[in-house]
Amino acid sequence: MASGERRPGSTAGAVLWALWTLGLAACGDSAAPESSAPPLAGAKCADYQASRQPFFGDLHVHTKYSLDANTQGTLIGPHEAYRFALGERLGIQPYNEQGEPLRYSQLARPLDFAAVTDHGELFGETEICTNPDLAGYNSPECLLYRAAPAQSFILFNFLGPGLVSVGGAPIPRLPFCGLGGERCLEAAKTPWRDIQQAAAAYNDECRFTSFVGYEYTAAPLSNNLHRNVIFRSEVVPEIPPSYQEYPAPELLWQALSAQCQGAQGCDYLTIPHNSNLSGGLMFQTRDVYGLPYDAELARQRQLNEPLAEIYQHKGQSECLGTTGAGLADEQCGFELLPYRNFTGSQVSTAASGAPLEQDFLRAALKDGLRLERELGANPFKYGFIGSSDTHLGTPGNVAEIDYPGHGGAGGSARGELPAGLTDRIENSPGGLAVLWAEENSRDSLFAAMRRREAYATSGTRPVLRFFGGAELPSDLCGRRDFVQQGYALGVPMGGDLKPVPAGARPRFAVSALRDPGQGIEVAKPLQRIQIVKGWLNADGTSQEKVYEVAGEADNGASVDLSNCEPTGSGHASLCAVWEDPEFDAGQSAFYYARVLENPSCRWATRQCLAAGVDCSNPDAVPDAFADCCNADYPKTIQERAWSSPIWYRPASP
Amino acid sequence: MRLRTVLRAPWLHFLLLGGLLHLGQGLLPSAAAALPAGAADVERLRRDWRAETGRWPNREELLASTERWLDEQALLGEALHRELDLRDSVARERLLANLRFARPELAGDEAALLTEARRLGMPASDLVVRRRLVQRLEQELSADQTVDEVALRAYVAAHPERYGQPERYRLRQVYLNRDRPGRSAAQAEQLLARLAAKPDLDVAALGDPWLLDGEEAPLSEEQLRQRYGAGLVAALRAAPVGQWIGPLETAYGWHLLRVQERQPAQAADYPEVRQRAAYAWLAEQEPGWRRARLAALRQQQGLPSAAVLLAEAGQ
Repeated sequence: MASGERRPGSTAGAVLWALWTLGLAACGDSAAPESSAPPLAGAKCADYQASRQPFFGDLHVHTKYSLDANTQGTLIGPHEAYRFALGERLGIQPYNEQGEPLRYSQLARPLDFAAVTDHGELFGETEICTNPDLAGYNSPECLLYRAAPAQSFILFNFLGPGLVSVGGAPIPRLPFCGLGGERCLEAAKTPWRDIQQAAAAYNDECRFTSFVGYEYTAAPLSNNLHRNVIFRSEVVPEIPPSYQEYPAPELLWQALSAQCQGAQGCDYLTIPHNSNLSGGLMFQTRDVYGLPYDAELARQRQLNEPLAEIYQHKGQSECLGTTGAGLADEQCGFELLPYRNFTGSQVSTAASGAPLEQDFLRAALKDGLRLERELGANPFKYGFIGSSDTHLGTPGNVAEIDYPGHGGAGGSARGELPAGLTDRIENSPGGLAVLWAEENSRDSLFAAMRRREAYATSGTRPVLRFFGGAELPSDLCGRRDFVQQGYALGVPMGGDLKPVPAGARPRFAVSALRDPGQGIEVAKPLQRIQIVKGWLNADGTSQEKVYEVAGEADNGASVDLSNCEPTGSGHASLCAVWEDPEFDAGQSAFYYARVLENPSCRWATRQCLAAGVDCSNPDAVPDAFADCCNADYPKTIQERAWSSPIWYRPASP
Repeated sequence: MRLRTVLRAPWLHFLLLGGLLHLGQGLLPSAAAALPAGAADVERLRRDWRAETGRWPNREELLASTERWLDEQALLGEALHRELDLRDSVARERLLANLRFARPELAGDEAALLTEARRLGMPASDLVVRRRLVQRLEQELSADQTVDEVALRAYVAAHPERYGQPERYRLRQVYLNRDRPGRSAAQAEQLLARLAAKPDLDVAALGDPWLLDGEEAPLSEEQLRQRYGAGLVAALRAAPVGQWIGPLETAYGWHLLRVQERQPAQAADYPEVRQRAAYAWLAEQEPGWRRARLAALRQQQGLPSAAVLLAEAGQ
């Protein structure tokens, strides 16, 4: 059957191939872009609330399309991941030889939104086109892609031929020419397309939102510069810009902007994570050419990155608390990884080195104030979210109880359940992203991310409102119009304080409801609320201070470690209106609220207890459970929420 | 002496061996025929398993491993039949790069180089090409699938939780915050009695502020469970519309509730959900389609079952 007569490799063939590819790309673009209409100003959903409602989700999820998930046996794809987020029970790795899962997992509470964010670098087509070491780099498709990304861009509006019209309604054109049985080979299924189709399959306006996304996986010398790229709509680049081709965040933003430009409905933001593992790089203030940040780059960063992950599976990135003036925050020890980059988990803590203060968001926020004064723009104006970073395709699986691990840092789980703890002792189930939005839709949630009206939790679901404004009434906590007054007289989390009248001081109204819990997720009551302030002195140095504003640190709540039963009482809700007693109108500052729950057992403590590990008899402790007796890690966790900050900027002189 | 030196020269040995190898390669069967399935392959799979896991596979594991390998053989055979090694640019570039080094005299003639690659069995033996061809063929095959309208309607009907609209409640509530001194279940009972006696009482001024207060948006049971915990929902199911019920205790305190309106669950609006349901349906059908395609390909190519192969191999 072999034939040497065809000449598919000829130049003419290459040109034809390229044209054909373009033509096929265009076949996804022929119908009117009905689905990319601008967002409606008004309500679309029956439960629309102008005063906004909290939606809980996970914006950091890996499935089988991430090599580091796939190589350890994860077979769950984006479709199954979204169904898991909706509450479906799912078999997870490892699998037996017949392909049956050896364990199952299910959320006690479904999520309101999620994004599958597989590593873009490892999607085959991207890698082939952008890695010169790989065969195919010089293939016509790749030459075309690199030379003319705008032309190789598809608007996926999903309307077209091949389907039966129902009641005269427009005929939905379905996936990439495949549905109607047409041969459209380049439109066949690939990881990136499958990810988009899964998002389309489960985006259920008003009930569940899926975002198309991917992870930009930059890790020079194992220092983490990762970012999740989240798209507002189904209109996304044909090939996600990746690290190999755009080896610096500013190049990524340029590429995304260039590709989104002119494509109606295309909008994106990037969310950095694990700055704690960036080895000093995440908040460095030099660009890819070694030049210091200028105002334009600072503005670009602020525009493209309104949010950062403050907590996830691989620890918190809030604060280290070891250097600088005014540092006395014992909460910085919360879920703190003992190393500064991936070398720490892959080789040893010693090889990595201790974590660096500059890699934590609080330090970056303070440095942002300094840069704003110097440059006129703040590059590090980050709101906060949490997420899981699961590598099992299980979004929102962030409870300490029944934690199957997230796999990302663990070894291979093929064929049999590994004995012992389900994750490295320093890792954790991770957290959730909470967005204050009018309704559960892509447009509404994306707008909330843009304006940073977002908060992070360590996995539980407390409700947290935070407003700032000099005119907020001091009796707001007892009033029924807390929210209305908050919006009318102040700004919500993520915003900039309105000008503070001379002689006045800004007030902050913070109100929290405890997580009611559900099923096996028995949540704890609230212990207290703190407000964290960071500010810039006239001499350019910065300071920070933690204020206790509601509840009490010494409420006596604790945990009986012999059975994980909580003791002591807490609060169903907490509220305070706090006025900054040390306000100086000439100092720029940021303020964020931190809500602490009563302590509960950490995931590992529960597993050690279930396994009957007795640390008083070290010889009897199985190797796989040795970390149960590792005194470097706490037995309990104080679940928490972090609001996005509110910023104060002195009026220009 | 001089000849002996030359005969001992490593470069000569290299050339001679290279020439022999080259001649020998010419005798090898072509790629299409290079897909024998037999005892040697089973033995190789056993050794591969051991290299990967550190132990020998049991019969079940070897059976599964052999099935997977046979599937891949079938896909590779079909990929070559469809001349994907000539059509797919990535595979083609890789093959050309391999051959240009080995056959510099053919460097300018791509067709000849590709013919030579086939003759050498390279599409099967080069791991990158092999993987790419299998992947590419699977993409082509899955692109052929179409939506079965009848099956899709049945699928939508079978998933009302996903495609239908849930029952929703519009509620009014009076809330007593357990953290406030003096609040109790008894106090909530008294309030309820007052509301029962005076239905037109202004409830806006009763009880404590609730942070999620606001519009009486219609909420589903799932939303109510998320906001108040599971306890509330069971009581609401039995609640008559327009009548105050309670007190219902939650983690937050006590709630008196009146169902203003109960919006019934709705069946799926097929035209509206059809598109996203089709994506989900296609993804769910794909594993079954794949199995059927593989079975057909294996039959076409006369590949045996793994069990037969293992029996031949004496396993």
